[in-house]
Order: sequence, then structure tokens, then C-alpha cells
Amino acid sequence: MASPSTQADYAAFEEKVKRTVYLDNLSPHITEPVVRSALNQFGNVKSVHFIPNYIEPRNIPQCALVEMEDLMQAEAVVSVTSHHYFMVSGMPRPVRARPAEVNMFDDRPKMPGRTIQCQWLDENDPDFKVAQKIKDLTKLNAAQSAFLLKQQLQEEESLAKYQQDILNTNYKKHEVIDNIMVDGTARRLADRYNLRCD
Amino acid sequence: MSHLRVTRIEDNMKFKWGRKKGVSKTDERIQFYESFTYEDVEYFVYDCAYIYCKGDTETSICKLVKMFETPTHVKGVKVVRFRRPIDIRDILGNHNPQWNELFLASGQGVGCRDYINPLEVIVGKCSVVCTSKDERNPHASKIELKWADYFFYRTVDVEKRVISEKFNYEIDGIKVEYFFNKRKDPKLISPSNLKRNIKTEAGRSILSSKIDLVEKGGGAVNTDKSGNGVSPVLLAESKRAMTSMGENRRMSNENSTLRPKATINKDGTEPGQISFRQDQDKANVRSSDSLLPMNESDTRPNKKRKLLLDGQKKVPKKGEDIDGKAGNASDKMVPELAGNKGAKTHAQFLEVTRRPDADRSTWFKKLPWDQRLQTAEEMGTLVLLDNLDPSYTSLEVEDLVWHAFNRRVEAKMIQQGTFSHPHYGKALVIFKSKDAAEAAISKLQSECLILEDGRPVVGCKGTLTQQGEPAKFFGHLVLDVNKRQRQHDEKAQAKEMQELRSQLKSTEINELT
Repeated sequence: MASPSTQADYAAFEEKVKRTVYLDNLSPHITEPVVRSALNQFGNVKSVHFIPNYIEPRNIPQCALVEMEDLMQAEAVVSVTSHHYFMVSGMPRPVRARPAEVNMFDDRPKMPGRTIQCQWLDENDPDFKVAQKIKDLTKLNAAQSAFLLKQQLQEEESLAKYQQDILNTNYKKHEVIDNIMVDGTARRLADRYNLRCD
Repeated sequence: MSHLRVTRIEDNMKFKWGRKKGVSKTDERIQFYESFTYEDVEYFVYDCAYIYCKGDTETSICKLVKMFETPTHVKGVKVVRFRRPIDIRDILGNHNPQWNELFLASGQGVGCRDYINPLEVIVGKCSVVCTSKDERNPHASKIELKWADYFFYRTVDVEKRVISEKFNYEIDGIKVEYFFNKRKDPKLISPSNLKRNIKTEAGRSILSSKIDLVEKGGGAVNTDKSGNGVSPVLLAESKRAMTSMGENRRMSNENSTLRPKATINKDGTEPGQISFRQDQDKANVRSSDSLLPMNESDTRPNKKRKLLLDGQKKVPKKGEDIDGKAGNASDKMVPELAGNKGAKTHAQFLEVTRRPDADRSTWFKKLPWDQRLQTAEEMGTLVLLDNLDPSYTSLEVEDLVWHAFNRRVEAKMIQQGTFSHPHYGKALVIFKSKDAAEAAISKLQSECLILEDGRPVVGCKGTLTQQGEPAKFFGHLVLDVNKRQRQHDEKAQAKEMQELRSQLKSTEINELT
């Protein structure tokens, strides 16, 4: 039933998937040219597509699908980012990269040779209750994962806050030192104590 | 993760030393032992065990190399660790290890956790078989391989970042023969032992609550099929782990793809238990794999029952499957069985073909998808379909809705990313009218629309997260850059002032003099 054209389409699509890298942990401020220039060191970036966030909570980082020119470049991106911290646009949070999968594309062509079947279950069918239970479980699972995600985001937030506090205090310390250098207090004190001060 | 919070007194009661082995050469008061019993499991020297330290993401496996007690009653066990492939994935590179393969960690850099306190960290026994072709290693039989939880044949030097198949003369001061399989091998782990260990592990796992959940779900199935004489076999297996597994296997045959928390790959999962279970599931794939060929060859519903029986009988002997769902392998079992189900229920499967005048929808130019989503949500025509096969495309979903509800809709599959479940897909569907959407939702809730592999489709009202202003991004640490700028200017100004002052001073002095 699969026509040769759909098969060819699908093959081309799969090939494209192999060349694509899935980037994660991107800041929402990052735009397409930024990603492009960041990944240009690995080779030619053919296209960048940000995945819109429709149903997940607001605060999760952005994700993008980046299509490279060939397979080797895509693999290089993935391996380098996994071994070293890769920061895009100066964000202290490193970016993760994975090889893309078919399901990440929402405009994917149909898998050739597959037909979907569906069926409405009768109330008297013995599996009806099972199906109902399964549906409840699905909903439960969705709620649980949402909760877990929320917890994780909260942890991230507290960690970020902690780091920000540390950063601020360090900066203040540096400021103090800088100030006394600038207005000569340090030099005068040094002269008095006969110490060198640069 | 608090399953190891036992008090001191209880510790001492559950822990018992075995036979003495001798005293340490360096300090005569340190007593070595050959074995110890903790929580009814006896651990001998050179056994392998699971170890969980607080803060790890999963248990480690290690070989107990020395057991001793110091004069201050501190119990210690020296261990040599095995590394899981996931721990050393950086070093692995292109090697593709199997799921239950381990690597013996050699060289320095193993960390200061070579000495452990057994009361705190030992979780259970483990069986590891060495399949190295080294001549000093007795070859492991097929049975041993099948029964073992893990196997290894390579070492990894963490510091030098090298994997090798060669074994040195000794590893960490212990003769390498002790790492290979035992020659006489009287200690083949018996099934009862395994089952006991597994039960203790299952008991400890916080996810045991999941078993209850699934048992309740599976209970319905059990009663349905009880008339066919299946339950006597099940009842005979009174061990809790086995019954829950049996029910789950059957329930999972009907819907294998729903697996709450069993194999969540998201990052949102709690570290600790879930990846531990994932590993167990993967380790179990081998056992389930061997069941597959039998099932695949048969398609009649009666035989299906019999196969299930055989499947259950087989598994208790192996004693490897623990709790929760069967491994991913049962996925493959399901398509055949679901086909049988279709034959059993008298309704026909509707085949979903391209709906009529599908191409007509492209005649009119449409607003961009985002805007359509927004308007749909406002108008109440947005529906979120869940538990679809993740490999469906948007067009297939549209066809599906056409065939199921006889309505023309627009649909889009949600792209799978870090936060989506790998085993089921979701789609956002825009109906033409609010009534249509609500009717569809209520129909999905009251009746069951089953897809070809036995999944029921779940529908609920679609709600979008607010788009618009950029979301907060944690990890973006900023210094007040403006402040810096001002500082800079101030500094420059201050310098200028100083120079001026000094100039003025010198001129003043000149004038005065």
C-alpha cells in the first residue's frame, strides 16, 4: 500500500532526522541567529527551529532542533557538548545536545505501510473496565509527571537563587576592594605601613 | 529515599558476623570475617552486592573483598566497584555495551568509598558473572549467564580513561582470580535465594506503591479470566512479587504501553528510585525476550491463555522480574494479542484511511497555527488527546478523529522533547465548535476508543500555557551591569578629580612660594 513516493519521502525525512541535533536547556532569550553562530563552529547549520511549548509549564528552558549539513557534523555537536560545557550566549547554564528523533518533528511524513486502526469498545465488553482503568492511570501519570516537573523546577529555582546570592556577595567584595584601590585609601595605608600595594 | 533509616539498635540485631577469618597483620585487633548476615541475607567474601549511597542516582554494584570489624566496633567492608555503562559513557565512546554489562573498575580514582559501612549502604545481593576469555577464568555456563543479573568481561581504568579486556595480576591488592568465576562453583544462587533477595529489594523500593496500584488494575482482569481456570495457577504462587507480576503481565498484554514511572526518561524524574527501576527493567528484558518467540508464533485467543500460563510459570523459576510492569519486550507481544482481542470482541476494527476531501482543507488560507490554537482555547474547541502512539503524524490523528467521531478537525502532534513521555504521544485537536469538542470529550470519557495496540485514547480539555513574555530562566545569573557601568564612570571621574587636585595643589604651592 505504500507508494514509492511516500517511501522516498520518508527515507529523505529519516535522513534529515539523522542530521538534526536536539538542543535543550536554552534560555528563552536565545534567538535563531545566536544558535546559528554558536553551532557554526561545527559546520554548516542548515536550519534552526524552536519547539514551541504548548502544554508544559512556563518556566522550562527552550528547546530547538538544529539541522546540520551532514551526519558527521551532527555527531560532532553531540559528542562535544556531552564532554564539555557548552554555553550559548553567555548563560551559565550549559546547553545539552542529543541526536534528534523522529517524534520530535511535528511535520513528519507518514510512515509508509502503516495503517491505523481504531475501535469503539462496547460497554459489555469484558475489557471495557480495563480500558477505563487504563485511562485513569494515564491521567494519573500525567498529573504525577507534572508534579515532578514542578518539583524539579522549584529545586532549580532555589539553586539559581543560591548561586545568585553567592555571585552578588562576591561582586560586592570585589567592589569594595576596587573602591579602596581607586580612591587611594589602599595606597595611603600601604605607605603608612611601609608595604607595597599594586 | 529513606528506606535505610534504621536505628542503631535494630542495626545490631539485623547484623551478624559469620565465620572468623583471621586478624589483620597491621593491627591485631582488627578482626576479619568470612561472611556476615544482614537482614537475613548472608554475604560472603567475594560476593557481589548492590550498594546505595545517599545522593547517588542509582545503586552501584561492587564485589565485597574484605570484611572486618575494628576494635571500636566499627564494621567495614572493603569493596571493588563495578561500573555501569552509564557511569562511564564518556570513556565508552562508540562501544555499545549491553544493558546488564558491567565494567570492573581498576586503577586509582575509584574514590574514597572503597570502604563501606555495610549497615548503611548494602541493599541486596547481586550475581555477576565473568565472561572474559582469559585463561584464568573458568568459562561460565549458559545457565549461569541466564541467571546472573549482570556480566562483565572488561575493565575500565577511570583515571586513564581506558577500557581493556586484559586483567592484571591483581586488582587493588586482591588476586584477580577472585574476580573471575569460582572454580568449584557450589554457590550457584538458588531461586529461593534470588526470590528472597528480590522481595527485600521490592519491599524497600518506594515504588512498591505502584504495585498496589497496578494490582488493583490487574484485579479486574483477573476476575474476568478466572472462569477459565487461570487463577488456580496464580493462587498457587502465593508470593506477592509473583502474583503482582503475573497480573501485570496480563494487564500489560492488554495495554503494555502505559507504564507510570517505569521508564520515564524525563529529567523531571526523581533520581534514585526510578533510574534504579529502569535498570532492573532493562535487566529483565533478557528474560522477557526469551518468552517472545513462543508468543509471537501463536495468534489464537485460547492459546493466548495457555501462553500466559507458561509465561508465568517460566518467570517464577527465573525469579528475575520484580514488580511493576514487564520490560519493554512486552510491547512486542502486544500487537499480536491485540489482534486476537479484536477477533474476540465482536465489533470490527475501523480502519483509518484518509478521510474524504482531506485536501479541500488546503484551499483556504489559514491563520498561523499559534493563533488558531489561541482562538480555539478561548472558544473552548481545543481538545488534548493523550495516550496515542508517539509515532503518529498530525494527519493520521485528523483521520483518526474523522473515523471515530465523524468530524473534521485540525490536529497537530505535540513534538516530543525532554519533558514528554517517550511511550505515548499527545496531540492538540481543534474542533469546529464547542459542542463538538465537548461531545467528543464526553464520549471519550464514557466509552473507550481503542487503538490497534490496545491503548485507549484519553481526551481532555486543552489548556495552553501562556505564551508571550519570556519565561523565567533559572541559571541565568546576572550582575547588575548598569551598576558596573556607573562604577566605571565613577572611577574615571574620581581619577580625573585626583589629578586635578594634585595639579591644583602643586600650582598653589608654587604660588605660595
